Amino acid sequence: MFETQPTRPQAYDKQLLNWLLILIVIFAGLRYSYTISRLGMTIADYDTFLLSKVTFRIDEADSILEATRAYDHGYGYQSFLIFLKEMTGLELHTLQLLVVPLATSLTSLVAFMSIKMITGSAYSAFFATILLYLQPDFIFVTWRGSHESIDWILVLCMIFVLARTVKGDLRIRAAWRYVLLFYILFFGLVSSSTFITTSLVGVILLAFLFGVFIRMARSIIRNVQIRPINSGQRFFYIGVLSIIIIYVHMFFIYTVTQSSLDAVGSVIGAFLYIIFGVEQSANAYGYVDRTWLNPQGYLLINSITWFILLGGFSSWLVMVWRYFRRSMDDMHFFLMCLYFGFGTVFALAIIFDLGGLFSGNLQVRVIIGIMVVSIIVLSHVGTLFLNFIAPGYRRGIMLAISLILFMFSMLGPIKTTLEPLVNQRWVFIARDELLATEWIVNRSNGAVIWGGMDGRIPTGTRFYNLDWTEDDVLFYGETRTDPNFYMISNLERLRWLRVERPLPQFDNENLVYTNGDSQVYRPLPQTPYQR
Amino acid sequence: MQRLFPHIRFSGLLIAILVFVLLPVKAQDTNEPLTVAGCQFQEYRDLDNNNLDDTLYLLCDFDLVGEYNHQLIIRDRDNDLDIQQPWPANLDDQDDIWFFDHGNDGNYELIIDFDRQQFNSLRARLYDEIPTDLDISPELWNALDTLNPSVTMTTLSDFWMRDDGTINHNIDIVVDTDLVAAFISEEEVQNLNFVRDGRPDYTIRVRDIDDDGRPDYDWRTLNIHEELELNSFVQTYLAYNAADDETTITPLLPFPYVSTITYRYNTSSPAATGQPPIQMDWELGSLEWIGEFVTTRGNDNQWFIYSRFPLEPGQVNPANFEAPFAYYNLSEDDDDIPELAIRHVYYAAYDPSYLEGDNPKTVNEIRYSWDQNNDNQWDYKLGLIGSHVVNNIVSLNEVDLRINIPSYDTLPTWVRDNDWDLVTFVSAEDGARGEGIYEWDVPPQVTENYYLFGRENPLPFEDDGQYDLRALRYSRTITDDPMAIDPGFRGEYQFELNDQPELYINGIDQKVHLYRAERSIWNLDGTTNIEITDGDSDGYFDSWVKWALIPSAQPTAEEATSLDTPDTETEVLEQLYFINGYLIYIDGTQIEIKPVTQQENIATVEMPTTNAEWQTLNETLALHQTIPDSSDLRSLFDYQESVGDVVTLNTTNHTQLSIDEAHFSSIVEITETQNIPALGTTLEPGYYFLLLDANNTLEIKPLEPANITAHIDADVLPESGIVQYDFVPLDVVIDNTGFEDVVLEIAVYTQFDDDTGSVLYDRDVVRAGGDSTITYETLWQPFKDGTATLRFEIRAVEDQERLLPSDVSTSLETVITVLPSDFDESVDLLSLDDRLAFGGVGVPILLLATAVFTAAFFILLFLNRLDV
Repeated sequence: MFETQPTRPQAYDKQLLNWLLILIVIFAGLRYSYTISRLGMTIADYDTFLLSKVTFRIDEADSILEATRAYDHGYGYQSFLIFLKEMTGLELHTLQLLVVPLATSLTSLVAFMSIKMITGSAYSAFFATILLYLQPDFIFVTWRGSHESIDWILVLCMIFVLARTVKGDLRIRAAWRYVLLFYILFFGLVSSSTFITTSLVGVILLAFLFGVFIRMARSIIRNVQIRPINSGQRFFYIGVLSIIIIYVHMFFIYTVTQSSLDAVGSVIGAFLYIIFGVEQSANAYGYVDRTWLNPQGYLLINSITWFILLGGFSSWLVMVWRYFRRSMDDMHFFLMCLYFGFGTVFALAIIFDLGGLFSGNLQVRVIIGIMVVSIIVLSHVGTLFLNFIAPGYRRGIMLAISLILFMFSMLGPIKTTLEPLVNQRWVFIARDELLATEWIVNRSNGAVIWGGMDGRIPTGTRFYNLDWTEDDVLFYGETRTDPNFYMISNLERLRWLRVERPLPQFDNENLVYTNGDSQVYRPLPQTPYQR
Repeated sequence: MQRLFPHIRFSGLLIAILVFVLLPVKAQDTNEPLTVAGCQFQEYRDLDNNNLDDTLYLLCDFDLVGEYNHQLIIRDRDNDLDIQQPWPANLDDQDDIWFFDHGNDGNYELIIDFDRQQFNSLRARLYDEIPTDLDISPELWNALDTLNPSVTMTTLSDFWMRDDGTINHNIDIVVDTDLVAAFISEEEVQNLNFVRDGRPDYTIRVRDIDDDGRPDYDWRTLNIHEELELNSFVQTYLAYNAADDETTITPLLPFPYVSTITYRYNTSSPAATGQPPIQMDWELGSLEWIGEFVTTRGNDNQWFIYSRFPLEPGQVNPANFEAPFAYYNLSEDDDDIPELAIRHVYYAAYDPSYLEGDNPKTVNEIRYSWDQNNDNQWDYKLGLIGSHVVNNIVSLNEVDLRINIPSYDTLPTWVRDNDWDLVTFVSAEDGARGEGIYEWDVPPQVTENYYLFGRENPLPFEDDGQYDLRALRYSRTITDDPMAIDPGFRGEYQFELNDQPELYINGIDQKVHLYRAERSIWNLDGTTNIEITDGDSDGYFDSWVKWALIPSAQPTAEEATSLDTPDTETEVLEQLYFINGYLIYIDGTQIEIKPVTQQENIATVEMPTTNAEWQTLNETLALHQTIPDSSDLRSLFDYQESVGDVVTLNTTNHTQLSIDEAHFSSIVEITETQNIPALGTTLEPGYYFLLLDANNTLEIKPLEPANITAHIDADVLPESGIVQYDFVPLDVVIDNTGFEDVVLEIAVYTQFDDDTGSVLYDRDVVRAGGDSTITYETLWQPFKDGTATLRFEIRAVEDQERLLPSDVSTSLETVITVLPSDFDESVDLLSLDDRLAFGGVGVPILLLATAVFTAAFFILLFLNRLDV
């Protein structure tokens, strides 16, 4: 089937291309708009809170290093936020909840250009970009106010630059410009998230090893001489240079990052940190059972992920098989190696997760990378496949794909927003809950508050009150088990009932506040000195 | 006469000759150099070469070692040096400049520049940072004016020391250097950045009301310079001698206030030694200390304030921290050693210098220590925490101060007559020294977390559920010592007193105890403790358990230095109980029980506030404390006379010892046949149940195995109206008719009539004591409505050790009708926020729009307008 070179795209309808580019940005904007509006402006996501808090402290101190709270993994996103804040005069919350997510829609253009560079096909690029913005995890990490909003733009830009240099038609001087641009982008990524950067370096090194291995294997099996290609050795150089940049950044520029390395405490732990960015978190697989009210339904909601993973892997196998059959241009060889890098990291993450190693929730950390590269591989191979289909059949297939994508586009947002109707891990806080908690803190400095079954209300409340310190408020379970106040809302009660947990009862405590939907109770004194 | 003494005239002449001969010898003795205030005359010199001597050179004993090898040079500045006068007359401390040359090496360590001020006052400026090329010349004193003196002293009258030796104690002192002139460490002084910059670092006012040479006030202010922003530093140091009996200074150099380093600040008080307070390190050549003029601790009629607030003259001043710390001469023996010390630590609500201003209420902390037998060691202490706003102005007119503190005269009765919330009582069985008894002061963590901020538990718990009292120890850093109190001390506490503390003498051990105390811990020797408790909860101690650390668990020297808490085991040595008029003694071989007529409380006593009360307490103690050694429980048992038959059981094994109100029981093992005449019975070998019940009936019965019956308390269970999600109280009454304790597992199962099966709702473990009834209380929360059957399965926990194993199990059931809840589950999850127009129905529309857009987009592609 693939005995001949695929047909290269012919001349595009430039006007249509421009329109499609506009539409694709609108499309991405709509995806983000839905997510923003579904949860309103009520987000209670820990990473959003953490990055906002760190940014607030930096802004307060007028210094990244002297801020009272530093973020272990980088400072780039915080700097970006402060730049936006200073330039626009907008509130930090408005930037985090509205402006940055909507602006992230423009990432779609970067994605399109990068994918087009690799696949060489605008068609593939459109298909892949649409698929990317249907993938719920990608939307989630770029929607919430975390550094990943800019990380993936940078990664896509780096892929573009890499691909451009791999293409082989550059003169030395022009190539150097791209090389320089790559490392500028790389430095930007390091400054934003050391973890994603180290993970990317791991991917590049794995891709290099794979490239060496598969070329040797092909030369042995096919008994052909290995043709030197650009991408091979360069992957190795990039890997080594990147490690040096990370080292300089970690030990000389932003030494705060070392605390993450210290925290893992062992050589193996440090290695895992480098490759996966191990952080303590809940098990990802048990987490599905606990948070989705219907785990079987979750499989359907997440079906686009399986589709992309399986489709990407199958496409990659086709690429490998095809490589052994006949030669492959450098760009596609690059894509094949890149997939192996991301894929291996992802596979290892799942193995470690299932083995319970380090109790780390690794796959959540690396899934975006494998999604991006899978989508590229899938769209590339899929486009080739369509080339060999008769136009009549092709229309039918396209219609089927449209229907499938329609379904994905309906289901994906359910996962992105952790739809409260079907999910138990809510990432929002209602305004009445916020009012009740703020009422406590405004009247009782240093209050210890019981705020429900998990960190939803604490995170949400803190996100909207970034100036609070731990001296102002502590939440139950974080430090002690004798709260000064219980805060309960009808929303929270509903949550308990949905999982059939005994509903918290405070009938024996003093009701000191209610706004209709949320109540605050004060425990009855247990000693003569409690007030 | 001449007949009797024929040579009397000759003899008289002889005596006269002898006197004349010997007088020179005597005169030769008096030729020893005249020594005045540690100095001897060396010479006069004419330094300005005008043929008139203008400088007096003395050799002095700066170091107080009896060697006069240091030079004091007095340069006459007002031309009044008269060499015809005895040299002490030329010690001009009003106009001259004095140079102190330690080691006589030409380098001056100290210069004092004396001059006169307005209103007959005198000034002395002390310089201790002196250029090495200094020359004694008229230019010098002009040069000195350009320097900042380290210490400037100004009198309020026209003398430093009168001819009769009276030293002026009406002086103001300004310190502008980093010496120590307050009760702080040298390190703290360094942190205060005191430098010679013209800004006063300390201001000191000393006052002698009647000008008798005995200072009455010593008021110091430590000036925190504004750049430091320290508000938790003690800034005011005010001492007052209420009896005007301060020891006068004994001059050791011609300027009586200055000497070498002696007592530093207050550790060896001038009250005892009369040493000069301004102390110079001659080797370093710097003024190091200005000690107290009025002793704060080494006397028996004084009080002082150490406050974080600076005091201002002419206004009412608040005071905090130690406000006041007072000493009293309870015995009236005037031996300069007090018999009562009261430390009152005070913070008004929201005091900005305390807990960052967060303390929600006023707090007073009292350490009330007294020496009852006048052996110069403290015997008892009450540590008290309360909340009493002080509203009492103490006026000190001589220094124009008005301070809001309890008055010195009424402080003891103010303490006694107030209610206190937390209390510790300590008896120093071997005596204690210091500012009072430090042991078992209520620690800050209890005051702050428990008392002020209302945390639930004042102290962490030990494995046995009792408070870990080690935090109360003064030596709190000894984390590996399992003892709750230092050796030689007996401590008692009550953290919910909320009343005036009462003391009483216990009829059994004849010790002074705190009424209503929770526990008493007496550390006899570091390894043996007597723990005293109140078994019947009547406020008086009635149970004594003497235990020791078993040898293997005693910390080794290595462990003693370790920060880890070692595993410790204890061994009970002997026990004594006083219940219902019976005294019960238990040791490793026998149990003895005898009826006695003694009372738990044989005398109520009060903390002494006056000499009369102190004397009365002495008499009361002498009357009632007749047992030589109260730490020997056997002696305590034997001391009490029996008023009936004594029951003695020889047993080495007793278990399940239970004491509560008017009840004592235990299982004992008899290994040999014993005749018990007092009970009219003979015991064969076996297990028996020994019981002293509320009716004063003493019984011993063969042990019967545990046997339980149970029922649900119908009075607690609501008859109707139980609603879904409500908590339903369920009390299960379990009666153990056997004599042996049994540990029971209670499992609660629920089953609704909708055939969902039986569900384990709760599982718990309880202990049912022998011959007793317990109530197991639980709350059941139905998750759904309908008819529910609750089943309680009660059975003995497997693998528990019982002397007489038996089948213990029972089952209960009750049927409860649960009404549906009115809880509104229709919370609108679609409209989470009304701040965006997209909330509510707009959300699904938007979702549909994005999906339609996706499909349309692909259909567009599908139309093949874009070439594949």
